[in-house]
Amino acid sequence: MNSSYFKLLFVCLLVLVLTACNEKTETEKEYMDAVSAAKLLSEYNKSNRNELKMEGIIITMLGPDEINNVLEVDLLKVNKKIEKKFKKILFEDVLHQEVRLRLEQGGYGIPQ
Amino acid sequence: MFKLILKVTVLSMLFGMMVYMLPKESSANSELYLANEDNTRAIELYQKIMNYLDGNQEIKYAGAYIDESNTLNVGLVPENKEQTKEVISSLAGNLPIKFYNVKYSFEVLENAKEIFKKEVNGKYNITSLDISEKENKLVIGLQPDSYSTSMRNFNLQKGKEELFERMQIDAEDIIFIEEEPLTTQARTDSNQDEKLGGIRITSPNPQGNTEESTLGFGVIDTTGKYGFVMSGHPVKGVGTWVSQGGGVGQVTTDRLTNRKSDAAYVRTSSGKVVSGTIYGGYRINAHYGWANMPVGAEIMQHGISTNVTTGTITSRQKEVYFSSNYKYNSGGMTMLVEATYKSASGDSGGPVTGKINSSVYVQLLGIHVGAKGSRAYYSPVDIILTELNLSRPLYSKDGNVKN
Repeated sequence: MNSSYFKLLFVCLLVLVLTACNEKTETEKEYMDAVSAAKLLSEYNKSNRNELKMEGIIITMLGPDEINNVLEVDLLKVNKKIEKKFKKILFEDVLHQEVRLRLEQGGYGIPQ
Repeated sequence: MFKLILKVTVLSMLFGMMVYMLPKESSANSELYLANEDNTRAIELYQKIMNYLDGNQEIKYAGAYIDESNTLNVGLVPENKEQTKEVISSLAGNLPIKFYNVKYSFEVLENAKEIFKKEVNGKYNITSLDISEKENKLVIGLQPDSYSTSMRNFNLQKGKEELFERMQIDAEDIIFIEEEPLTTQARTDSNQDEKLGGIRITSPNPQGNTEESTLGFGVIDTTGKYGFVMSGHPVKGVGTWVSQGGGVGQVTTDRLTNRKSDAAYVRTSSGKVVSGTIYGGYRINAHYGWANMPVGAEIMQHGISTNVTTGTITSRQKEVYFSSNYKYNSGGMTMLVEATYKSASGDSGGPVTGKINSSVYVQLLGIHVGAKGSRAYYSPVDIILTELNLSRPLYSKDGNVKN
C-alpha cells in the first residue's frame, strides 16, 4: 500500500518539476522587439545594400508585424543558401539577438 | 501519515497548476489601456462596439462621437438604456468612455431620413441629407441662394404634421443648414472647377513622359499659401508643371534623398480654387498620423482608376523597394503603411481616409503610393506634412480657397 503511495507521490513530483522546467525554458528564450529589429535591419540595408546584393541578398520589403511581434522580410530570391547567409548576417552582425522572423520570396513593389 | 502528505502534495500541485493556467495580463497592457493620449483607443473601442452590435437586435445603436479629450461618447436611448450601458461598459473595460442620453436610435433617424428624402424629392434645393450622431438630429443642407425660399416653402407645406408622424421624430429634431452643392463632374474630367482630392491630374514623370495620377488633398503651407499634395514619383521634380485642365501649379517641394514619404507639394497658381473635400462628397474634418491608426483599422482609398476601395491596415512602418526607375532613395521608401484595399495604376496620390462612422466626414490618413502582390501601401499624412514643410491639410470647413 505504502509503496503505491510513494510511486504516485514520485510521479506527481516529477510532473511538477517538469512543468516548472518547461516554464523556465519559455521565459528564458527572449526575442527582440520586431519594430526595433526592423529599424536596425533598415539602417544596415541602407549602408550595406551593395554588399548584400553581391551575396545574392536583395531585400524588397521589410517591416514589423506588430500584432505577432514578427520581423517580416521579403527577398527577391530565397533558397537554402541565401536564407542561411541572410539569417547569419541578421542575427550575428545586425541584431546580435534572435527575433521571430518571417522570411519570404517576393518581388519589387509597383509604384502606381 | 503518508495519506496526509500525499493529499497535501496533490492539492498543492493542483492549486499551483490552476494558478499557472490562469490567463495573465501583462503590466504593459494595463498601462496601454489606461493611457488615452490620442484617439486610437477610442477608434478601436468604437470598432469593437460596432462589431458587437452587428447582428445584435437587443441593443440599439444611437450614435457615437469622439470628443476633444479623445474619449468615445456613446448615445443611449431610453429603451434598454441600462442594459446597453452595461454591455458597452464591459466592452470598454479600462478604456475611458462616456454616455449621453438621446431620443432616437440611429435606425429611427435613418428611416426618418429616407422618408424625408422621398417626400421632398425635387421640391427644394437640397444639397445633402445627413445624421448628426452627436446632436441626434437630421441635418438637411440647402443651397445658400435659395435657402430662405426653401425654408418658407417647407414651413408652409401641407401635411407636415403627418410627415413628422411617419418619420417618428419631432419637428425640432431637423436642422437646416446652408451648404454649397457638391460637384457633379466626373473624377477623371480634365478640368474640374475645384481642385479637390481624388481627381485626375497629369504631369511629366522623371522619364519625361506624361503620367496620370490622382490629386491627394488640399493643403496650407507654412507661409499661408494654398496648394495640394500629390504623389511624388509621377513628377520630375521641383518646378514641374502639373495639369488639371491646363497648368494648375508647379511642384514647389520635392526632395529626392532621405525621403520617408512619396509626396510632392504643388503650390497652386493664382485664381485656382482648392478645396478640403474629396471627390464624391467626402468632407475632411481631421487628419490622423500613422501612429493613430492601429493595425486592423478600416480605411478607404480614393483613386482615379479604382474609385473608392476599402480595406484594413495590416502593418505599419514598412520599407518597400520598388521596380526600376523609382526616383526616391535609390529605389526604396520607408514608413509606409500596408493595407488590403485594391488599387491600380493611376491611383498614386489618391487620398487614403478613415472609415469611421456613417457621416460623410472623413479623416485624412495619407496618400496612395503603390502595391506589392495583394497589398497596397500609403504614405502617412503626418510624415508628408513634416517632410514638405506644410502647415495642415485643408478641411471642408475652410471652404473653397485660392491664392
